[in-house]
Amino acid sequence: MSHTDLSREGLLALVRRAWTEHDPVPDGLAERMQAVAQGEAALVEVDLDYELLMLVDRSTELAGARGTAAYTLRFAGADLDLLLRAVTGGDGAARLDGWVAPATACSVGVSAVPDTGRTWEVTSDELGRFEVTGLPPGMYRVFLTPDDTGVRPFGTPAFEI
Amino acid sequence: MWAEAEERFRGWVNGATGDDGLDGLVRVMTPVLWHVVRAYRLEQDAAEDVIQTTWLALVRRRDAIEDPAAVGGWLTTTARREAWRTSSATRRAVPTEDETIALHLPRQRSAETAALESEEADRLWLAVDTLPERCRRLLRIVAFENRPDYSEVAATLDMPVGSIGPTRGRCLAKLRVALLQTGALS
Repeated sequence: MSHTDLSREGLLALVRRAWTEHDPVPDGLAERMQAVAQGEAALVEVDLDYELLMLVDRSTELAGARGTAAYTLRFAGADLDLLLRAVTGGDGAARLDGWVAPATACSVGVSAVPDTGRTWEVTSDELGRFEVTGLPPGMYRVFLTPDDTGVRPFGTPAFEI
Repeated sequence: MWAEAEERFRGWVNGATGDDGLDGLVRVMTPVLWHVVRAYRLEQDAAEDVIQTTWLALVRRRDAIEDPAAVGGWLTTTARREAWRTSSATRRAVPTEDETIALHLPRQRSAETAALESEEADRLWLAVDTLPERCRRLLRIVAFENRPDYSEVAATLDMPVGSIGPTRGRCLAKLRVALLQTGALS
């Protein structure tokens, strides 16, 4: 067989096959993305105008003791940053600590993705800090509505706890 | 696949739900986005974040896509830009060489068939893996995208604009040789 039998399209099909086998799409990724897209479409439907924060940093600490794990996510928007620290305890439930910088008093809503109808509502203090406890493992988004109505609400993409 | 994406995008705009609408679009295009984004050497977490950002952007800016046939290209371009931004903004990118080489075979095959197919897959992977890294990344993007804009791809792979066409040709030639050498074609 001469190598000229291999057309460009034929070779690219082999490349697709090689990568599909070698680095397959993670299990459940499409389903997670469906849940995210559906959730966002529901927000668009009710015309919720909010600024989508971008994840700019993620770090994991091995907290060590009794199977606890902690990680920190930093999100950035045009005018503010949001830092989230999630700590999962031995019982599997997580505690989420948040800091808004610059410090902004907000109503904070944490909602599950896909939407189970369950949300956790807290407020951030004048230093911009808040905490949510008892979160079961899953995907969540955090939405913040500043008390100052002149400031647009903002929210995070979904992240896994 | 691009036609399937277009059809589902149209369906979604016209109010279809489930696999005829947004869910179907996400199902069809997420694997493509995965391979394009992973060509930027992002870890799994970071790659998933980029893909999520892409879907959120699509839902938020649906009206900006006037031609439903353009939805696939819009998604891959958005994902590629975001992957590039993320890979240059963080030092979390890792070379793919460090990752575990794993074979993922469909279940329920006879042992003999599985062994034969596994060997074939091994040889195919070996051929792809012997390519220089820039070739592997470029061919992965070109293989999964539908006629990407070369000047954009060049910028994100740190290659001179105008060199992509010739580089792609050289990479494909190298792949042909590698396939013959590893016996993947016999």
